[in-house]
Amino acid sequence: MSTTAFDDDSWRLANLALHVSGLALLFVSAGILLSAIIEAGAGGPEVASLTLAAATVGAAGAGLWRFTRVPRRVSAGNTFLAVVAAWVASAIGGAIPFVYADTFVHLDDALFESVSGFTGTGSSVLVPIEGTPRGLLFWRSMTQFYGGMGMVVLAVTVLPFLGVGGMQLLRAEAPGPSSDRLAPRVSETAKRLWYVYVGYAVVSALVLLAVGMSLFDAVTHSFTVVSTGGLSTHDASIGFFDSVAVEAALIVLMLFGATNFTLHWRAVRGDIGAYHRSSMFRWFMSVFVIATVTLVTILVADGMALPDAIRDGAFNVTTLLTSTGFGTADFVQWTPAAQLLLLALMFSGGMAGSTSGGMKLIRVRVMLNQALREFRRVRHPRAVFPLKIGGGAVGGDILASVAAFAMLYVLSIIASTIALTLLGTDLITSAGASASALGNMGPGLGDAGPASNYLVFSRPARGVIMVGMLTGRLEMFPIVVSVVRLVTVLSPGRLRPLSTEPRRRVDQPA
Amino acid sequence: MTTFRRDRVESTPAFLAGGAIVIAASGLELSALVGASDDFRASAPLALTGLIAALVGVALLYRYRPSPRETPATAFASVVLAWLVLAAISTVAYLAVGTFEQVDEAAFESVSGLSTTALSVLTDPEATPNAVLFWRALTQWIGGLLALWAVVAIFPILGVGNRQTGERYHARSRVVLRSRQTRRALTRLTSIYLTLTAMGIVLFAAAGMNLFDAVTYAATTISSGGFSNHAGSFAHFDSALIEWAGVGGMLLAGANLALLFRSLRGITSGSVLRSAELKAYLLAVVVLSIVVAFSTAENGLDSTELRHATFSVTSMVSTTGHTVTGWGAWDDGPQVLLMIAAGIGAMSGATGGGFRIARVIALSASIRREIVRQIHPRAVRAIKLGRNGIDDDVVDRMIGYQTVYLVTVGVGALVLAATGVDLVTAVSGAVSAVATAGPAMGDLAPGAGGASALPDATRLALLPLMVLGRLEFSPVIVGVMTLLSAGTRRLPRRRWA
Repeated sequence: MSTTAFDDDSWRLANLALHVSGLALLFVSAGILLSAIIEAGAGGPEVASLTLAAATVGAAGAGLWRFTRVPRRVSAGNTFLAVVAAWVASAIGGAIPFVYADTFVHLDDALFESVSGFTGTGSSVLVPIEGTPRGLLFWRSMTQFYGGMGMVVLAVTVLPFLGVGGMQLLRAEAPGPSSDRLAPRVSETAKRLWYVYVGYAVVSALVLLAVGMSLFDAVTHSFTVVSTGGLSTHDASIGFFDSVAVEAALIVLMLFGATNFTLHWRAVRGDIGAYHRSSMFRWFMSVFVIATVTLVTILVADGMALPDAIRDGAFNVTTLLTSTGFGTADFVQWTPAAQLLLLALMFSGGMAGSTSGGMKLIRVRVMLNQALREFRRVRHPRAVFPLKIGGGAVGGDILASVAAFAMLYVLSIIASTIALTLLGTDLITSAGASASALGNMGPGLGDAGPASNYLVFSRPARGVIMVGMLTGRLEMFPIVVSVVRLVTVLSPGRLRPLSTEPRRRVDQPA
Repeated sequence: MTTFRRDRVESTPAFLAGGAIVIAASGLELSALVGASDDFRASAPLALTGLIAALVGVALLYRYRPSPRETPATAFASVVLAWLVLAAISTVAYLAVGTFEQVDEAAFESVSGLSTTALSVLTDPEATPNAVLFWRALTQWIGGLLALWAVVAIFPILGVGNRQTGERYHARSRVVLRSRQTRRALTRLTSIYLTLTAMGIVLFAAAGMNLFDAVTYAATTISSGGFSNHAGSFAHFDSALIEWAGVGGMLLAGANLALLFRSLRGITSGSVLRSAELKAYLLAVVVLSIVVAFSTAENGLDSTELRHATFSVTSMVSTTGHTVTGWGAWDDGPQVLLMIAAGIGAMSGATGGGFRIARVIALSASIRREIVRQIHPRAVRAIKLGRNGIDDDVVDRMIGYQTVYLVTVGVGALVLAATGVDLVTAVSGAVSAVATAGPAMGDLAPGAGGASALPDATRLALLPLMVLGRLEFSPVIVGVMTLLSAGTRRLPRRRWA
């Protein structure tokens, strides 16, 4: 199938966005086919519709892939566009099995479930979950598995030559302000990331089997735990198992899912000390411990028994800090202070370069260090204080880009909250759902808590949440840049919002 | 002041504290005078407190003089000290008159007043003596004046000072306290503040208030304070004219006074209209008013709904906190807009608080620059506020400021929730207190009982939020740290500051 350098491919349309989307759809189609096989094995009723969906998506993907090629030169703006296109295509492709199987009443519900799956959010509009055919449940988990490491990373593993553009593609999709090269070649880096990821999923499935899950549950939950997605095959989520062993195993698995995969790669290569040497990993663990202790204190002060408080506290801190979103307790019933603490955790997220969502701890830390640095500078106005993270200095342009990200992130949450409240939802539910969507958590606060689902929102409100989930998963810039480019393209010659050329005044002689 | 002894000891904290005490003392005497005809029993304790304070204050001024140039740490410590001394005197005055029986209530009213927040624990203002009402309004007026002075004296350190047109925004390393420039700026600002207050009095009186109400409401409006002589705030008057007058006064409170000054002198009226911040400010008020009006209109928009929406929006953007309608009955959408309006707040160089529009503009420009850099990684662009360039250094400070602002609101909300109020009240109350607005949602919505119905611990938790928000965080934090380290000189110093 792969093109060789000798092929005359000049007849194909040179469009990176369409080409990458086609590849992503081919992978989606393979996933749906696997779900059809599972469905057939379980003797379910939806084998035909799943197979048909796989064929539809596969045909669309193959068409796009075959009739387009990678352009000779790839600009940064086009890589963003390609990432967004691949994600939108995957989300639409991923919704097709639900549409063919008539799982939902509305078309947009199917799309919501698919977007929520691929972005690793795990907000669901599927009720009841347990009555749904196994193939579809498997596909739901599979979307999270794909989305966790990323459709574009997957596509890059098979793209033959991309040069500089490939790393830009990875950067545009990978969570965090910078991405490490694991190998000299970009496609090799992408492959290694996927090896670690798949290996980790296999280990997780074995661990979950060992603590007492059935084979189907173990596999589907391993998909959603390594991707820190959080969809479950049960209506009561993890509460269904009601087992301390399962919860403890999931806590560890979620924490590792939210750890930088570069560290895992080094550990696999024999360098176990890499975890301890990473200052961000130590910080991640401290945040986890401090948040758990604080939450347990609040819960105990509110009258919960200590063993219950530790069990529920540790699990819910982990599930929101890592942006997974599994549920064991209905935390919207907890005291307001506990809920606000959980809301704060939704903002932070896990480590950069992991599958977790949120702002990422490194950005939080850069922003906090910058704030502290300003206090120092006020006291000693002429001293030079470098901005340091874990011994290394952070440059001014990284600070600017981290700050811009943080501001866009907060602004998006605020904008989404305003939009949801104007659409008639109450403030706490809106704020919780916005933070949850942008951070790819799943459960929110108020009416959209862990024991509820997103059917409480009106259909336009769910549209807002969908955009939020995609924007959050792709880390703001790809969506923002694509929107700006679209606006520019649609209004030629009139709007030049991103031109860097100096503007010449009309009355000035050239 | 130049007639004082030349050999006074140089100590900025002591001098500023003395100045604050003298201001408070004159205010107390004035209040006693105003209220004397109404209720002499309330005036006497105020006059006595003022007299004692005046003796201490004059003694301090006689003994100490300020350093001409001061390190930021000492300058901030002095400002915080002076501010706390003012709050303490006001607390003593309330206790002396007997308006409040508990120290925490008196302290809350004082801090809320000086920080120009509109949270009041005075349950029945109509039954309160005029002298106390006048003093209460005066604390807000003084608070607004101090905020303006801080613009000249303190903000240059943070890089968002009161700039002349064409000057770059940059951060200074020393606070210049005694220079012709500083003195001229202080005089200018004070005189325009007085002028505006006088205009406010005329405006309110012309709209139909009696003289006492006109004076006190002008004081609490121009200062962006928001205390009121009546339980229903502006709703008490039930007059469209007075409400529009209030809108005008609050618009002034949220505007940059130096800009207004220039426009009054007619020298560079063009530059006023060109001010990007002023445009954004007016645009925000108009757009938010329209959106809020339409989202609260029940069946077709009538003029009352439009007026109430405009009043509420102006009140929150300028962080004044006067109210005209119990917006707790509205949907959450328009209420959230009001909270966002308060969080963004007024223009820089205004008496109003909040994050300030200038910072929003500058940070938006920096976001825009980053978006451009995503596509053109080597692009070089300057960040501008209107026509003036901003140093990257100052933008970095704003980034730090933004983090501190958000963290303060977040931690504040967490603490408020821990003291036992519900989620909505905790979050909106923290936003509103840090912005020094006052009214919020839930239990703090106008007409819902207000601060006096809150648990004691919640009120205590609101105090630091108001102070931090009014004095823009780092002066308070650095100032308090300096004061503490001056008190505990022997202890090992913290390395990070």
